[in-house]
Amino acid sequence: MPRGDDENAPTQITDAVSPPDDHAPTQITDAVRLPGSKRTKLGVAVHPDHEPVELDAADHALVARLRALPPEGNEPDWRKLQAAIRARTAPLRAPALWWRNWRWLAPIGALALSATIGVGLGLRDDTPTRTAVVPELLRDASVDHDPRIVSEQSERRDAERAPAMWLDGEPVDVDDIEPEQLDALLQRAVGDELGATFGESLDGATGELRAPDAAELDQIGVLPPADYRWIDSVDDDAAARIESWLARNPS
Amino acid sequence: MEGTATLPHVLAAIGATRVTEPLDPTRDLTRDPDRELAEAFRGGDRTAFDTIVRRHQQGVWRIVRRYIKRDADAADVTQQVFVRAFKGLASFRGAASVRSWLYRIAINCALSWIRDHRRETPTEIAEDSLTELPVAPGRIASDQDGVRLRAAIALLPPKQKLVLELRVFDELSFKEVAELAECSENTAKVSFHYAVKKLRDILGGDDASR
Repeated sequence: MPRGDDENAPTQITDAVSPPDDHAPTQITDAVRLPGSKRTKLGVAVHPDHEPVELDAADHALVARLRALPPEGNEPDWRKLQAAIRARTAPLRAPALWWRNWRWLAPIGALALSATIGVGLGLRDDTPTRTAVVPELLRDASVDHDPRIVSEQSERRDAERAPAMWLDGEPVDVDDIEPEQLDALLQRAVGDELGATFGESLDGATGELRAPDAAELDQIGVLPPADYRWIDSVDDDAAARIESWLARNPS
Repeated sequence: MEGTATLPHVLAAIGATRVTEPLDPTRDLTRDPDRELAEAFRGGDRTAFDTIVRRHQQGVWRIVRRYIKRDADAADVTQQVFVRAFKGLASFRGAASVRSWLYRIAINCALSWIRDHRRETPTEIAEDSLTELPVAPGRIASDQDGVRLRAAIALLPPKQKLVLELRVFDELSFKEVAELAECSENTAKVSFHYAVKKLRDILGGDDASR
């Protein structure tokens, strides 16, 4: 009888079986190594470890008798048995690996994720939001403006409008005024203001501010009593124009 | 020295027909012939499972019948074995052969049935315990010899009995016997040798000299 291994093949004893236990069906446990004395009691011609043990002729004869035994009981009708098994397994769904039911989830999920990312990127507003800070060039001196507070709406309004200058209570568009006219306007506005503010401090001949004497200094302090806070709100361009005007009109 | 009266010869002598598909005795035992069928079944091919049933139903029935002495109950438990195999084949990892895996299920199902029916009267359980093939004149001596041999096998320790039966009656390799007995291959060989020696001791010197 061809088999993968032969009973006549030498067998090395590397593991011994456990002593005979009860006859009830029990769990098969691992073998333990028996001492040499117990192995001798079993009647096995035991050689030292790693030496083969063979079945003798009588053992092989006994095995042959066992193999010649007919099977126990009466074998059933195999066709009926197959039919019964098929009937019992028919309602059952053919088993499959658990991930097979979800095998479409990965590509669909990846597609949905890509679509979501694409929609999210497409709906993103890339227009930068910048607040245009365009300070007013000049403000009305009679109105107490806080130059630090510049509303976005006023800035936008101011940006849309042409730069305005307030002279003598009237808005003046600097870009629409000739330089000579601007000089006259400035002279009139500043002169009037200076006259109204300083009055006797102006030199009637030159029109310049007269240096205050010691008595006036004691009364009015070092600086003339004029509201020059509007100078803080002047930007660089307006200050440059004022300086150029003052340079052309030193008086 | 092996005898020529092997099981297939005995079956042929009595004219038994085999509906099952016998395994090729020249099969390469290092390669599981049922692995492809198991893969096909996991792929959804139910006919592959029918092929597995035809190949192994006889072996499974024999194992179950050694534990359960009633033919009807043994057939029912055999059906349970294949139903359980149908459900569990998807998770079969292939560490052992399909046949070893089926035989392991058969042993577990048989032991479970015995545990569940422990309270039954001994007469019901052993109803067919001594019933072999139909007795014909001239075969009484061989039947008596068979009865004595099976009675001697029943006296073996459980592990040696299992190893001996799997090796002799089911024609499993020592590797497969080791898988079912949950021991090493060398331990299976040693157990088989001890079982044969002990069987000779039980039967006495007269039987061994026949």
